Amino acid sequence: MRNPFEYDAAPNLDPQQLIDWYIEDFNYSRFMTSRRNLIINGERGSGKSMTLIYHSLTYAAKRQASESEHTERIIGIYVPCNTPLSSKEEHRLLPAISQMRIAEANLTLSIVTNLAREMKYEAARLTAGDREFLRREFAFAMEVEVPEGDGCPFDELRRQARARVRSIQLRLQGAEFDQGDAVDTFLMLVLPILEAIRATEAFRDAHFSLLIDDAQDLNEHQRRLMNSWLGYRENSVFSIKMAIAGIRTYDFSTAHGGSILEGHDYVTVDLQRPVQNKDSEFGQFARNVIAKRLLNAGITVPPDSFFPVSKAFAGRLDKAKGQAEADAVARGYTPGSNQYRDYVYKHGRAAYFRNRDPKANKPVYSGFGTITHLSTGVIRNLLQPCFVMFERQTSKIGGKAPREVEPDVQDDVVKTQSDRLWELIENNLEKRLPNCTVEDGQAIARLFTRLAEYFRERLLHHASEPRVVTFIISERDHPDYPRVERLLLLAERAQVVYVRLGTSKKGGGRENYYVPNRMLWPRYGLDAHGQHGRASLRAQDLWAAANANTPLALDREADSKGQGSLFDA
Amino acid sequence: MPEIVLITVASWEERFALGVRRSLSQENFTDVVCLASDRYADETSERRTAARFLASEAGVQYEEWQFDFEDQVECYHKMSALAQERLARADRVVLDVSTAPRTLVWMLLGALAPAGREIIIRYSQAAEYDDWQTTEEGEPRLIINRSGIMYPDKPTCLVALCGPEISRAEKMFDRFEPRKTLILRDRRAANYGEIKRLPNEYGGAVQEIPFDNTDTSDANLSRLEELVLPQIEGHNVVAASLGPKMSAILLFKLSQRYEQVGLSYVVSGQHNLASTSGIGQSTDLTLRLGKQ
Repeated sequence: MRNPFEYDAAPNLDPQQLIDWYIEDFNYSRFMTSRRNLIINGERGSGKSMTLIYHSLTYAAKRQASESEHTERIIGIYVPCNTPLSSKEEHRLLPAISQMRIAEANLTLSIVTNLAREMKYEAARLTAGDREFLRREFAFAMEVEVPEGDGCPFDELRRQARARVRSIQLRLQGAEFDQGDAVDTFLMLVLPILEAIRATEAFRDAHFSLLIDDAQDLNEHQRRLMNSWLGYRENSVFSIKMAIAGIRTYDFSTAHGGSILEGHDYVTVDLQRPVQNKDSEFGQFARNVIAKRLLNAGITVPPDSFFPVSKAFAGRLDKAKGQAEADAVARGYTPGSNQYRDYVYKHGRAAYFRNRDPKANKPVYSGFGTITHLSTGVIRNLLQPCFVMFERQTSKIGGKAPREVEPDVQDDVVKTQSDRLWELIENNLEKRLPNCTVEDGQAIARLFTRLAEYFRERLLHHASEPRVVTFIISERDHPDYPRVERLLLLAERAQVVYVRLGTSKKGGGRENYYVPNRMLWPRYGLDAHGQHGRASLRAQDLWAAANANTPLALDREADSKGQGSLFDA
Repeated sequence: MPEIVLITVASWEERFALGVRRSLSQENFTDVVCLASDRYADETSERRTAARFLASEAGVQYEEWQFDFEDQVECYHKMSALAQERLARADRVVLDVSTAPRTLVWMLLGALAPAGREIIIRYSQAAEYDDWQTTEEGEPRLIINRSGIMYPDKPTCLVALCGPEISRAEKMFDRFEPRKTLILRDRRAANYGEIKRLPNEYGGAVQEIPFDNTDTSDANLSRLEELVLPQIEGHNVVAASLGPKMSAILLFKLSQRYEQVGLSYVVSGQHNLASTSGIGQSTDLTLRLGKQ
């Protein structure tokens, strides 16, 4: 039986599989089919590419797009930017002005090539007259002779654009590019082509949605150009939907020295979503993803039944929750009141971890909720353990189709994955991360070990917010802050920690908070289900932990003062 | 008197100076051109002095070209100048690649290629090797002027000629996100089968194929062609030499035949200054440059 939790990169998935597995997220899918410019932010594995590809014309045709989309005539053109074309460096041999012109030519031709690739599948909708019209218009725009015969205009356009791409590369490699050479530009090539297509009967007044994937891989000139195009507010012909991994460090300046503004020039959709409980936005999304995958595989049980919680663990948890309820009453909180509910929420699970025999084995990590929490809000992190669990369970029952993944199998996979993540941190970061030194890797390992110990101490002893597993950095004006920030940036690139933007407790505003990958916690027997709230850790203490292996001290009471009760973490 | 030039790359390894000594003792060179990284000027200082002394003792002109090996643009200009100005009139050129970074080898060969000349590639093994040689690699990059012909509507195929470990290949995966990967590796390598430990998002599309990465013969090139050729039509092909040095020569030969194939490398951030000792066997290869 095929594993339903396949998690290969979206462009590598079988198209039908991608369509079958895609979950429409109504929080942002309306933007995908709108005429507005959009920036999609998300780390690797958060589903950016899948979203863009799903909304491309090729896939729309395959999934027989709904009538409403046909009426709206939004044509999605998927343009990947992670091709080796973006990694070429020959242009750097030329003066800055030539570099910019070549950058624009390559980006323009990338759009045209992919436009032709996508539109080819819709060519059958053109009348004979429109086919001839497009052949002439495309040849005019490309400044070539109208090709003989009556070939598909999109095939011809693609061939010409690819020939142009090749020609530029050969001229650069042969040092034959002259500053005065004519090059293709967005205004002179893409716009006339789009206008021509819109003039045909089949695509009259269509809107083109340019789906730019992995924009962070573009070179600096191309990023600025793309920002300039995002700045065109006249969106009747085209809009840009651009996915970026690492928006925090992305430069939004334009080719002309200006800058584009969120709200005015584009809307941002953030795929980096917090996960606090089964009802959170990501919790619901994760449930839908797994339910659909199970259903497509012919498994008709809900995710919670397919990944059941260990009965013994659930029983002990209930007991601990009962104890927290009794404690709440003893404190004078009325059952059903906000204070009562808040106390039980914060202390119910914590009581289980506190009452465990220190010599006992680590807790059993099982249940769909736990797996969701362990994903830290990243969809690939959710699918990956599910994939391995499915394989393990199938193997355990002799290759038959599993009806559930037993809790001990789940637990074993989770603990193995946790060990693997620690193994990466402790021994292999410099091998995996570009520009990470051995010393950086060691410092990151010390920092996260100390953080794990800190959160464990907190779980066992903190009076008011024991289950907090995220943190903010205080005293950022301290000289150690840049050192810590640099290490955390490396850790973020390795997906050891995720950085989210949340409401600051000091004077409103927004601030970054840090969410360590929750797959780190099983190694330390920590609860994967964090609670709302953030620990406030000083920059100098974090640096001391990273640099000198100094433990992060827990102020058992004061640590949470000023944190409020319910955060959006 | 014929002009015979030895090109070598300064290193802290003993085999750099020992290689100069061996070459000078075997052939009547008129010139030694030593390429030296200014980032590692201190680490290579002692052995460069030794090489200079050896040249002087043999009555051979010695010159040093010092520049930043990690600056591709500077490397390109230096290698172009070396090929066009310094080597244009040379009757015979021997390039000792033993301690040379692949960037310089590929750029120099690329710069010499239009002249369609012959060049001797010399590789000397070390007498002994430590457990590790380099680590802390940077971002993978495509080589200026050997970057192939890439198209915006094709997926990527990575061809990685690997040594015992494949951590550098992982960095290649992260950078190029290939749809298909061929890991070519000697079956005798200690960690053969390591791809099983790759994260699944890489492992699914990776093939590990037994291959002799040290063999630069035309027969082995044909074997490489058989593997790569079927990928060219549907993929942008990026090829990387991540193991034995001579695999870089094999890839250069491949890129001469197929303009579509781009060559890539990963710069190391940290080098083991005691990675080798002594000098072992030397091998010469005559390479005919220009379109094959």
